[in-house]
Amino acid sequence: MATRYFGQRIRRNEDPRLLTGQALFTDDVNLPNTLHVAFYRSDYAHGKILSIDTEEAKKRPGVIGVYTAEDLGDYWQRGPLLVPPPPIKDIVFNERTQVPLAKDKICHAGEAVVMVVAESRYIAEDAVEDIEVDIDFLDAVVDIEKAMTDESPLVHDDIEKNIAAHVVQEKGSYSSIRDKAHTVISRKFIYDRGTAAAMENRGVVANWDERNQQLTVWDTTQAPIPIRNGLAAMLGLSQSQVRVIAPFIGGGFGPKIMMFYPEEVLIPWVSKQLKRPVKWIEDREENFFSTTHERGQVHEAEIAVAEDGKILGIHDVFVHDAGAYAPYGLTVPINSQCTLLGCYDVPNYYSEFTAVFTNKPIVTPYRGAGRQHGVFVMERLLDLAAQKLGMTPVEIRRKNFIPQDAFPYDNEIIYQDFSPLVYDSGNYEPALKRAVELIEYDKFIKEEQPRLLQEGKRVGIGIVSYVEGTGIGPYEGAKVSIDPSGKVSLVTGIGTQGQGHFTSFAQIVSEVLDVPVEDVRVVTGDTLEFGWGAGTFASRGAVVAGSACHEAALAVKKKIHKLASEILEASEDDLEVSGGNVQVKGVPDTAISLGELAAKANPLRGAVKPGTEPGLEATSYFGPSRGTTASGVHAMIVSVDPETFLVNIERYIVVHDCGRVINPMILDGQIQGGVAQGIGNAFYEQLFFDENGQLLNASFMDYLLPTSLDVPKIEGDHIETPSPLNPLGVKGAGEAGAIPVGALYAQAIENAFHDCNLEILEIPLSPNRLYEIISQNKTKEQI
Amino acid sequence: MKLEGEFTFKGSREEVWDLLQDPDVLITALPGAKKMEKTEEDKYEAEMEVKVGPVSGSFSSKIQLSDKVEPESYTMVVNGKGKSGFVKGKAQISLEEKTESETLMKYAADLQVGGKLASVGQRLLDTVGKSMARQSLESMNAALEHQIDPRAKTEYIPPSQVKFAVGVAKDVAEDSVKNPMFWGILGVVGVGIAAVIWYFVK
Repeated sequence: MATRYFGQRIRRNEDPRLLTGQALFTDDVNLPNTLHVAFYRSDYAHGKILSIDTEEAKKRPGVIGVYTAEDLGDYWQRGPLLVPPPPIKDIVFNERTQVPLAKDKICHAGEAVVMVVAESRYIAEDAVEDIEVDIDFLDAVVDIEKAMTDESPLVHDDIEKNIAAHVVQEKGSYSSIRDKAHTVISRKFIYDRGTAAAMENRGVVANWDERNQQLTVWDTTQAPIPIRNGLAAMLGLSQSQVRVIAPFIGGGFGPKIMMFYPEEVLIPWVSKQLKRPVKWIEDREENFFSTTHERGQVHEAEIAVAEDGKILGIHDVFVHDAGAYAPYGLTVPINSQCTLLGCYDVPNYYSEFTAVFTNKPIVTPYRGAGRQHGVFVMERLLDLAAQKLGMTPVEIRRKNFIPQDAFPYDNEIIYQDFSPLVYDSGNYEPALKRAVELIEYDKFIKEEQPRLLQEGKRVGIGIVSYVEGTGIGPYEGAKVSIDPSGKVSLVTGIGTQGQGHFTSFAQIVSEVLDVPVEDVRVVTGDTLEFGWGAGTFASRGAVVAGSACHEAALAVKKKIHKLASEILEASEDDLEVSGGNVQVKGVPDTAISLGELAAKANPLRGAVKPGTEPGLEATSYFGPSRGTTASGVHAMIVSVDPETFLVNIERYIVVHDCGRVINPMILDGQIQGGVAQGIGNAFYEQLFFDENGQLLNASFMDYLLPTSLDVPKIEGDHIETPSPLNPLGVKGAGEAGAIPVGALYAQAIENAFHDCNLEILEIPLSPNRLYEIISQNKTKEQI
Repeated sequence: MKLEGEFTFKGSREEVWDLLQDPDVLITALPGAKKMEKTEEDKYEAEMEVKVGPVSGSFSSKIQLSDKVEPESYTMVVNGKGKSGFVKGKAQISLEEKTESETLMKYAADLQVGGKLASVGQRLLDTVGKSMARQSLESMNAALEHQIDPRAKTEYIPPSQVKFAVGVAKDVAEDSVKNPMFWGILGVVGVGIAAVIWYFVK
């Protein structure tokens, strides 16, 4: 019996390198003769450029080049539309993507206007200060609801009412059931902006090798292959002349799947112009403006329920803040629209959204990618309905879960991957039951809470559920080969940002070939090694690339069987691959090591049969028919300080279902990290803009990230409902931790103040905001 | 950023009016001002060093006076630009006769602040703005008293960077902590900051 690798808590292959500082990050690339780049970025959020004076900057010793939009010539192009709008009836979509350097107009604070290339970053930064840009100030579009009015200034002069998109999706007929409902509840919900704040900012190093006519780019991207393809096209090179390496990355979280950022387009170009290596590493302040944001939405939502708590329908109209440009299409608002339906059987759904341009940094997916908003609205509506009907949050969710026998379940709307939103599989009741057990829900309500309340402590409990559409197409690939040393090489095209790919992908291959996980050398994110694929996003690495690894390993195993059957003169069916060898079943004497077999598969003299492929190597691709739906339940107990309104998490439970688990330890890490970001999003992090579009907290002094003291150790359990859409039965888990945390905070805090008639309809919160909301309704005594 | 306030000058309205138009006085009174010139009638250009929390840098400002009703009121349009951001906006200034030798100034400024000054410095911006206004006006008043009677016991010494920094530290402390318990501590901190600044500017 072969050793099992799949599903084991195996320590990560990459950690020794990471923990000892040996891993290569983009900023570690230091080539001789490198030039450094700094950008002049606009202080204004909205304005017309009247003049740009770079003369002083050019005179500064050590400055090699100063470039404005004009200096780019034909290379100045708008970025590509990365995600076209889905095929939804009557969709309005006004395409407007970012520019490499602002030419006539500034559309958000921090937009790059001039690029300075110098012998050192110090000189480049000083030269930026020599630049004079005269900007004619224009009123800024900041408030997303006002953006659509006739009075609003326009971010883009030719786009009326700042409308980036308008989408209506409908299932059943909400209007026909509204009057029949026992209870109808409508509220306005607000979800405000945050930033991913990855530990590693973005960075690009490019080296044009004139002798070899070869461009090498190190880039903190989640999508090295599309970047290679795009750069080749833009620079007039063949794809084989461009190598993009996405080395280790200190956190992706989505903003690094945004592609063709201005810097990503300019650094390779200028390297080719100057025939020298060029480096740009984003600083933290730049990151607050030039890396994409997420999350501004305002929902006007309504739920109609029957007397027994059964959902009859949901009506939701929302505005989505696209920021200054919308290169990532409609992924975020479509995710909000689709994920709102959650784990529930909603027979009638009307959802309409308008995406608007504003004079704020661009919005593209960030961990959760719009799913938070939908989950927040739905879970809040359910809580309000439960309260009205005298049900508990647990009861109303249980009442509305899609039953286990109803899968695949068709929601009758279109998802971000352009496919119908059909849940492939799911089993929601056990996760809820388990979470209720683990957090001792009933005991808390009946015993703990009354006791602690008597002691003057404000404690509350929350429990929410959610789904996460994961593992979408189109496809990824992997190449598996066995070395004469017996070690296995595994190459895949997607980039890695800390997810443990070097281990979980190795486990998938080890499971098939029965070799130790540490003997599988994994390469990711280098286009020279693998040139086909889309990238790391939408919690799809394990599902799509993982399945490709599995298929490639199976193909290699088939080659092993075939060659060994010839050598051992045995039928393929009688052979087994085990412990690094292939042998006739039960006859260890016949064992040939895989390394030896690999050497035999690559003869250097003599003849081979026609059609023979050398080596024990195979490349496979996997593309699912559509995404697979993961789900989960989060529960927590909080205590709220009645003086400071600081919320302390006493316990946090996650019961998660992402199908079959490859490595539970890595999964736990993903959940823990996701919840940490969710906590930040729910209670600490918020980007504040003034009425002129100025970001008012662009530093970690004022933008609060949760610390280790604020994030508890997550307890939890896994439910495994395998996906039928891939050979491994896996579902994505990358975003699950972050998605329902806002909704959970809201419910738990309301519960802690259940005698105060408190309603929380917005995220992020903060101690200050919580104090304001509570004091709006309450006298001090009631608090 | 909105700045509003009142200040009583010890001088007649005409004297205060003249004072407010005199770049030689203004430069000594404005904390951090390095250069101030009258470029043409009612137009001034100034160079200033500004420090707001962690953000500092030089600003070049264009100031234009308009709607002048001498000696009652005028509007000041400010357009300042520097490496660490910009300040632009309008200020309404009016002078009322309180007594023969006392003039009440009312000012209301609505300023847009952008760049690093806003994105990194905003937490301290209001307090520093108020502090700057208060200290400038106090200095001008001292200059005025000195002008009216050079032998007056108030000797006019233009405020130094150090004095200004201490003043800001004091105002920040007053604004953020009302508890007198903290006063001693913050006083010490203020002196500490001042000492550091003194070390660098000396």
